[in-house]
Amino acid sequence: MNRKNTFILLAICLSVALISGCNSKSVDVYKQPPNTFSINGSVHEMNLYPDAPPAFPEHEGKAEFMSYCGICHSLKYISSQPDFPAKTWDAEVTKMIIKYHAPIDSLNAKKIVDYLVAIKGKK
Amino acid sequence: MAGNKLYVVCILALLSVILAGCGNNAPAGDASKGPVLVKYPEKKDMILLTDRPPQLETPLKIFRQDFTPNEYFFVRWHLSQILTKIDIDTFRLRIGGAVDNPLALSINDLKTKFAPDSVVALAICAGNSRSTFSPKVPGSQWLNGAMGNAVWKGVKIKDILAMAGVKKGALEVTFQGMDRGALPDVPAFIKSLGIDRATDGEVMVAYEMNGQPIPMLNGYPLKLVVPGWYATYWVGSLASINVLTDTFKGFWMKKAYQVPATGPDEKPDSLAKATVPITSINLHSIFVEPDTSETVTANKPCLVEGLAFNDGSGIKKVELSLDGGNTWVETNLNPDLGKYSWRRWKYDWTPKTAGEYHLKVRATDEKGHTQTDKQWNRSGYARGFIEQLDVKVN
Repeated sequence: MNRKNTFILLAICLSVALISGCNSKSVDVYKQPPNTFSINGSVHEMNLYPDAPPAFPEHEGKAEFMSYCGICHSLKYISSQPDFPAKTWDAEVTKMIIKYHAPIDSLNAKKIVDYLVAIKGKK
Repeated sequence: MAGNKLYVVCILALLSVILAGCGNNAPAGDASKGPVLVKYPEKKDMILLTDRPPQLETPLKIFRQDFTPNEYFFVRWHLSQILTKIDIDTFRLRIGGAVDNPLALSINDLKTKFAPDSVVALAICAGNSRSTFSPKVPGSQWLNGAMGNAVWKGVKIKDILAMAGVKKGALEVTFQGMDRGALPDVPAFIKSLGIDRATDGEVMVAYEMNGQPIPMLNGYPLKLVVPGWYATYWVGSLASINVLTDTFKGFWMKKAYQVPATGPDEKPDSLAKATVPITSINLHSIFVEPDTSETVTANKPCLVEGLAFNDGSGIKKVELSLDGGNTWVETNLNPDLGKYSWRRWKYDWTPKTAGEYHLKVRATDEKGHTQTDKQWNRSGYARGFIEQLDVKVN
């Protein structure tokens, strides 16, 4: 397994960890641990500013939805969306894979689309 | 290797967030309870759209001020890893590519080696007001608060590139910030401008916003300012400028932020085949007051007020309808604060009878174009269709 795949696996594992066992008070955005790195020779810190993750309905595909979609962005991106027809959700997931290079295989992509249609589908 | 290190660091940060505890499991889609207000660093109460990356909307009441205070200025990042702290003494803005002398400029260099420039300009997200499109489209569901008016102070790109010496054959200039995606393959946020636009003497690198350093969440220490164009070009935490002798083909110019080549209007059942990158701000006008919290009473004066704006070509008039668009009256325009500023309009209204009123507002630009009722595009960009405000008069 190369470095990139290892990284993706790690990210997925962490996302799964993120969605399980989260019942404490909301995160104080002022007190996130800093992570330091260097760009252009200068020292910077980056934080994520996370807020409380929204709760999502139980339905088949929830685990895939939460672990994959949560890697790159907050799940609030989904909870803040209106209901859409299945073809719109399909296009959104396809966009994430094709345009943003989300590492989601076709089987999981279908599960995620089905889940989105189940929780935020529009007839 | 440095890149990989960064991602590992980011993931470790994510892990520490998880371990720190992650939230109270608010129900999904709880929009019925009204907007969620949050306080982020250097910010006051803002409407939370998303947290990773942060997208924060300015509450409408703030638009009663001509200049949007920095602590209320909207926040919009695309990539989840954003800057929160920087060693300003060692930071350098790098200028490279097709130039004779590549530069590495400190903030102090920018402040002392160039003539300062300043402009009043509206920064407005291309997707501002997206939530009002019908049929609805995916994307951040902004109301009207993904915009703000500010005084920007900095250095003209023209002057910086003159110091660097642009080589013959330069076509475009790219601008990249210090934000990063969660995965190595997520396209870096890089925008490009044609060399003519970049060096027109209006595009600048700002180091000050409303007389203060730019808030970290708005792009400290440097932000690109492209007056008259949507804020997708206003790259925050700007660190690199590159002169190209060919066309930039990056994701954020060729795939994202596209509108139909004929303008930001198309039909859901026949989407435009040819698209181009969005550029200049579409003519639009909004209501600021009265707002839904105010009681309007018959035979008592009520100030109706709002903002009109476009790409800098000027607002000729703003008209108000009190009867759903059947008849229109001209409103009073406040003094012009600058060609790239928004323009405030006001109308003193005394409704004669109680009941439901459907107010509409439309602006006309200096070329004589007036806003129309209908417009739609698949991305919800560049809203220009007429806004309606329903007011109940007691």
